[in-house]
Order: sequence, then C-alpha cells, then structure tokens
Amino acid sequence: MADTSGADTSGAERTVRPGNEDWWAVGIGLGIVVVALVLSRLGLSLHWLAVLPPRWKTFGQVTADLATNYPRYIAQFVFWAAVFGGALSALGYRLRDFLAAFVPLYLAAYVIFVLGQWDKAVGYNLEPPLVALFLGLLVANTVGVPARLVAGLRGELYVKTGIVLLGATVPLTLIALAGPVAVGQAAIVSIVTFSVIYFIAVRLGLDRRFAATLGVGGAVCGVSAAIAIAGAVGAKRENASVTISAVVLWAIAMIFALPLISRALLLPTGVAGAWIGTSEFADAAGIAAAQAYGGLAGKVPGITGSADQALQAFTLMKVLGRDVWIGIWAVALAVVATTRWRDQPGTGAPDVREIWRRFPKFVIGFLAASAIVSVLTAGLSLADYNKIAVPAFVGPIKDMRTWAFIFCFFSIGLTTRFDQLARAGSKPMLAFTAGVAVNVVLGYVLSVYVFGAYWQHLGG
Amino acid sequence: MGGLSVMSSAHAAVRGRDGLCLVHDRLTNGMRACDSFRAKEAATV
Repeated sequence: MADTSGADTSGAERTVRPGNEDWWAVGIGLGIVVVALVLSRLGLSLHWLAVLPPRWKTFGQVTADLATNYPRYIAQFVFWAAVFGGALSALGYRLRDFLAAFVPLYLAAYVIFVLGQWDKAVGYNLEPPLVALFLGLLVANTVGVPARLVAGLRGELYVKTGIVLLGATVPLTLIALAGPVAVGQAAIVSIVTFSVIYFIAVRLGLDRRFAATLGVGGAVCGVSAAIAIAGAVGAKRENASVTISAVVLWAIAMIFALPLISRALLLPTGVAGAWIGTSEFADAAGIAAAQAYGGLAGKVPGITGSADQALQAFTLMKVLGRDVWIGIWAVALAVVATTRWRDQPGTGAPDVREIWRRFPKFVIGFLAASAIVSVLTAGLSLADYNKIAVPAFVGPIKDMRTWAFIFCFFSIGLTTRFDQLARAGSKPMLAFTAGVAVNVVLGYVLSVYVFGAYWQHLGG
Repeated sequence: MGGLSVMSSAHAAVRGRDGLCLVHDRLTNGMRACDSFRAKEAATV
C-alpha cells in the first residue's frame, strides 16, 4: 500500500517516523507558551525573541528598526528554523530542503509583515494574509516552485502551531461558554451542507462513495477530510483528487470573497469570524480570511470588534465545531459503506477507535494552552491582566503566533498549483458548488441573525 | 495524488492510517485487507 504523505522515502528502506504534524504543532506551540511563562516568572520575557516590524509612516522607521534589531530577527529565524526544521526532519523531510525553502519564506514573511504595518495598508486593501496568498499563487503558477522546496512550505503545520498559540489568548471560560454554541451552529451547517452535496451528487449519477467524499469535503475540514472519508468508504483515488480540487478552489476563493463581503456589510469581527468558520473549507485558508478581516478592526469605520474576536470566533466554529468531529463522520460513513452500499475491495471496516485516531490532535494543544494561561491568570483583574500578563507573556506569544500565521499564508499560495489539481468535471463541481451556496447562505443567517448578538460580543 | 501537497494536508492526524491500494486504485483506511492482498501474501509465503 502506497504512502501518500509525500515524504522522502527513496533510497534506504523507510523507517517509521515519530508522530504526525499535529503532535509537533502541539509540542512547538506549548513549548513556546511554557518558555514564555517560565521567563516571565524569572522576571524576563520572550519579548526579545518575539520581535515584530514596527508600525510605520515613513520607510526610514523600518530601516531604523532593522538596523537596531537585526540580531533579534536573526535569532528569531534561527529559532523557527530549528523547531520547524526539527519537526519536519522527524517527519521524513530533508533538512536542507526545508532550509532552502524556509530562508526565502522568512524573508518574504518579513516583507509582508512590514507591508501590513504601513499606516496606509488598509486604505490600499493590502491586508497581509491576502497579499501573502496572492503573491504565493502568482509565483507558484508562473515561475513555479521546485518540488523539493515543498518541504518548507508546510501551511498546515504553521497554522496548527499558530492555533495552539492562539489558545493562550482564549480564556478557558470562553471556550466552555462559546463551545456549545459553536458546536450547535456548525452541526446544523455541516449536516445540511453534506446532505445537499451528497444528494445532488447521487442524483447526478455519481458513485455514492464519491458523493460522500465530496459531501464531507465541503461540510467538515476540507482536504484532510476528503482524504479521510475517501479512505473510510474506499473511494477511488481519482474521486479523492477531484474532491481536493473542488475544496482547494473554493477555499482559495473564499479567502478573498468572505472578507470582502463582510467588509461591504460592515460585519462585526466576531460575526465575520463565525461566518468564515462555517463557510471556509480549510483551517489554513480560514485563518487567512479571519486574520484579513480582523485586521480591519479599528481601521475601517463601521467595523466593530477586535482582531482577536475574528480569530477566536473562527477557531471555535471551525476547529471545535467542525474539525473535531471528522472521526465520527469517518466511522459513521464506513458503517454505511460496508452495510448499505455495494461492497468494493478495499473498503475500510468501521472501527470506533478511528474517532481518536483521526481526532485533530492540535486541538488538544489549543485547549491546553488556554487552560495553562487561564489558570495562571485566574486571580488577575482585567486591568492587571492587561498591565502584567500581556507584556510579560501574552503579548510575545501573540506576536510569535502572527509570524506562524504569515508563514502559513505564504505557504498556501506557494503550494497551490492549479495545473496539479485534478480536472473536477461538471457534475462534481455542480454538486459541490450547490453545497457551497447553501453553506454560505445558511452560515450567514446563523452567524448574523440567529447567533449574531452572541458572536458580536464574544469575550465581552 | 493530485493536490495532496496543497495546504500540506498529507501529515494531518485526521489522515489516520489511510493509504492507497495500488491494486484497485482506491483509498483505504487499512482496517480490512481485501482478497487480493491476502492472495498476494499467500503466494509469497
């Protein structure tokens, strides 16, 4: 049976590599959180390492910052290269291939960061996530990116690390209170989206296994879900590839569309984040959209809320509301496939242990980071939290998170080669697009009208 | 597989133990061996 991971298995017999990227994201993210906390206890701070380009009006401010702080930027690059390089090396990628990609990735991330800190960036619609994505797409689909450099373009690893770090800024009480709302809203949208895609696909004559793969690709968590369900029901390889194409095309489209529409409607950031959480098709793409919209808070008149509310609402909706349930979808559909559909060779047997095996482990890191920081700041008033905790460790953790997200945004663009995507064909795209349409409208109605007041005041 | 490297989903935990059956060109979760696999094993033994 072929390993579909893409890791280097040439040459000597492949050995089993430790873990998957989820656990590495947990380790890296929680490691940063713990180090930040330990340093703050010692009267020190991670702030020195968590350097950011400053807000600027004149370019001289940027060059002055670089002249003063270049040792910090170098140290930060070495830190990121060491932790991500170590993880990817353990996952079977060549370190030199990773570094060959990560050096330009870090430099590009710095440039995009600088662009985002420009005081006129919003006026020119230069939101960093969208700029990073657009530039990445342009490069990937024109001059191209050498295949070996994919080792360093790990959008999912970067975004999962960023989500673990995001957990440190989300109080556990918020997760406990908002979680059920997110789960309920996401369940409604997911089940309806799956049903629409599945039944239209079957009506159009597509194989049921293909229809189920398309359905979960649109309803749950995108590319990973498509492959997971394809494996659970025994779908053909080409069906999984076509589903990936549909998911990727719509995920990329939504990165631009959802923030643009939200901006036109002046949605509060929490509401937009929730909508993006129901109507995006991949975590990496959704974080890009949520961060792009959140960055407008306080800069575009009429858009209320904070940047963090967009990210928090998105994460609660997409990660807790949709991603964590993939194992249950896989088991349920495997049961259906083996008991009700014509048996096919290779159809996986249902196994409830799949619920844990497929559980997105990085969510554990998100919850753990939240729990750790919540416990340690439990006795602080809001004023003291802002005066003590934020500069000591919350602020530096947030800054490191922003870097991880920018690595992710650029990686998405650089790894999206439209000519590598399988030709989707009209019937699968029609079924998937019908699901997208219902998903977007239903997600909007629930996020704005039914639960709008809740998301608007998230954390308030 | 087309598009697998996009957004680098290859190593995600949600993949479980999924793999590709090269005989039937289908994805499988590896929880059940098909007859072709067992026949090949018997032949090599």
